[in-house]
This record gives sequence, structure tokens and C-alpha cells, in this order.
Amino acid sequence: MTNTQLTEPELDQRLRTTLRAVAATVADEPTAAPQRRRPGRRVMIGLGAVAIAVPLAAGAFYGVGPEYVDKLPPDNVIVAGSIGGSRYWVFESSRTDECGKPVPGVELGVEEHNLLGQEWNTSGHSYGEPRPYGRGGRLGRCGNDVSEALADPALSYSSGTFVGDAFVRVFAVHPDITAVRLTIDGATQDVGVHRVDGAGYSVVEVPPDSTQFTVELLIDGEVVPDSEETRAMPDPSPGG
Amino acid sequence: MTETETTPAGGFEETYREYRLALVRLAFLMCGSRDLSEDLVQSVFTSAHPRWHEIENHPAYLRRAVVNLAKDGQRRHFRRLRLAPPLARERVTLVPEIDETWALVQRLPAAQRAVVVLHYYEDLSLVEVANILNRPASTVRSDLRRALDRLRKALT
Repeated sequence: MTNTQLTEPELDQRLRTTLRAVAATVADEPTAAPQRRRPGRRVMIGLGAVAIAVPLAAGAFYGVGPEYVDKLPPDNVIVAGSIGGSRYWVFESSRTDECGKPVPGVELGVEEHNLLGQEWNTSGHSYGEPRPYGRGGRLGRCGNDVSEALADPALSYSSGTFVGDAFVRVFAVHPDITAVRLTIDGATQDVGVHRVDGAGYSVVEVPPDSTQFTVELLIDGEVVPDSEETRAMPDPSPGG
Repeated sequence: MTETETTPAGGFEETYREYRLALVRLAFLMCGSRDLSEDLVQSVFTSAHPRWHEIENHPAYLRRAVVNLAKDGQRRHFRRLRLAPPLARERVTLVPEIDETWALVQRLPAAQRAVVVLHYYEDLSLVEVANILNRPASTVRSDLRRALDRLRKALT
């Protein structure tokens, strides 16, 4: 008995039928609105734990583990991006601080630092000033004080990390802020703001060939007075 | 969804409602995981949202993003098999002939699988496939020939 190969039209038809039948098994189940991710929160640890550190604002923190990366993209992503093939995600924070309180805000995770099966390695971004925990803050932080921040819409908290050769900076801003204006070499771009835990979060990408960039905060298209901030591109080298 | 269709005037939510399922199905054919497909499409929409008004042809943009993200994800999945236990392949139980063919399609290398899915499921010409995958048309043609040879041998 000899086996006969499918003719070209037969194979074409087999593939079309198969792919359509398989695709049809994916039912229309609209995804539910994103759920707050509170169970299984990860404990935030002190600064300096990660090699990708860039000078941090008061409300920022770095975190590693103890939970393991089980899913990429992570849950509750508010911004996803890709720079030169390196993907990153900004997602709602699931960490707790040293006194067991949920840390408000977002985390920035870069794919190349978060391989499946390894401990999470992210930078966290939060609005307001962290309250010291223990005498002189020796035990870390416990919640955020937002009273000063809420009194001044021009006040923002920002820090970032390198993704590939580019720099991604996350801004935590006043709830009234509607956009962040990024200016590099005369080119201007308004970036949207996402609401998380009552504050606004905006993510800007600074290309690798930039020497400096300027940021202004906007409310309904109008620049907030005294919100302009010009920064030099950080040095990507270790210790830079 | 074809590459040459006119740009719809739809807003973000309207486009999401209209195209989400088609994109999840396309992603599933590319990566073989329902959960991953949902995540991938969510990620593509999330990424497109801030630049929504700058994108000229939303369906074409979204499809291209889904295909390339799925293809990249598949490559990374294989690289990570040594770090994490492999995910169970999701079974699709249909008639045996379809099950057999689907199992073989899933074993194709990512590049060949992408060409097969886009050509036979999305009904795109090889030039359009090459455009989406950002690869030379000759390479896409060669990938398709290799994929068909492989499938034909296995399906005897």
C-alpha cells in the first residue's frame, strides 16, 4: 500500500478549512474591566537593589521579588511599549510597603530584566512623599504623604530607567493634570495621563541620541505655571 | 481585514469592539494560547491608545502589531523553556483531519507559521504578507514553500 501526497489545491483547501475552524473555536468573550490587583502583593524593598538604577524621586522605589514572573505582559498594564525590540510595561503596583500597606502607583518592568520564572525586577513610581517608617526611616516607608503634592499641581515625581538605549521616564502627577508635554530638540509631543489610585501617571520615551529633554504639565491644554523641568539624558553606563 | 482597506473613522472603543475578536483569533493561530492571545491583543490596543489619532489605518496597524508581537513572543517562549516548565499545548478538538493539520501547523517555525496563517487565514497575497512581516517577498515565498513541503510530507 502506498501513501499519496495531497495535491496543491487539496493542501490549500485543508489549510483554509483548518485555520478557519480553529479560529472559530475562540469565542467572543469580552474581557472584563481591569480588576484591581490586590491579592498576593509583593513586598517592596529598599533602594539600590537593582543594577539599572537611575536617580530617583522621593516617591520612587525599586523592587525585586519575592514573587516570580509568571506572566508577561503582567496584569493591569496601563502603558506598553517597545524600543528597539525591548519591550516594557507600566502596570498598577502590586507591592506592599514595610508596614504592610499597599504602595499606590505603578511599576515599570522591562522584559529583559523580567524573565519568566525569575523574581520580579521593577522600578516603582508613586505620587507624594513616602512617610518614613521606624526611627528616622530605618525600617523603610509606610504610606505616602500627598498633602504637599495636592496643594501644588506643578509638583511631579519622576524617575525612569533605560530600555535598550532609550530612556523611559514615568511621571506621577497631580490628579488635575491631563497631559505631559515632552520637548526634545524643538519637537513637542503631548503624552496622555492615566489614573491610578487617584493620581495621574504618564510615561515618556526619550530617544537614545537626545542630550536633554524638557517636560511641562498641562491641564486641558494649558501649561501649568512653574511646571517646566529640563533634564539631561542620564548616563546609561553603570554608576553613571 | 485586509491591508488595502480604507481607513475607518472609528474611535478607539468602536474599533476595539469591532476588531478585538478577529485579532484574538489571529493571535491564537499565531501562538496557540488563548490566554496569551487575549493579553497580546490587550497589549497592542494599550500601546496604540496614546497614539490613536496618529495611526492612519487602525485595522492594518493592529493586525501588524499582533502578528509581530505573537511572532516575537513565540521566539522568546522557546528561549525560555529552559527557565520555566513548558506550557501545555491547548487542544482544539474538532474532526480528526483538522486536529491533525492544526497540530502540524503549530509545530512550524514561527516565521513559516506566520506566513501560512496570513496567507491562508487572512487571505493576503505574499506581497502583503511580506509587507506585514517586514521581510523580502522572496524570503516569504521561500518560507511558504518550506512550510507546505513539510506539511505535505506529514499529511500523507
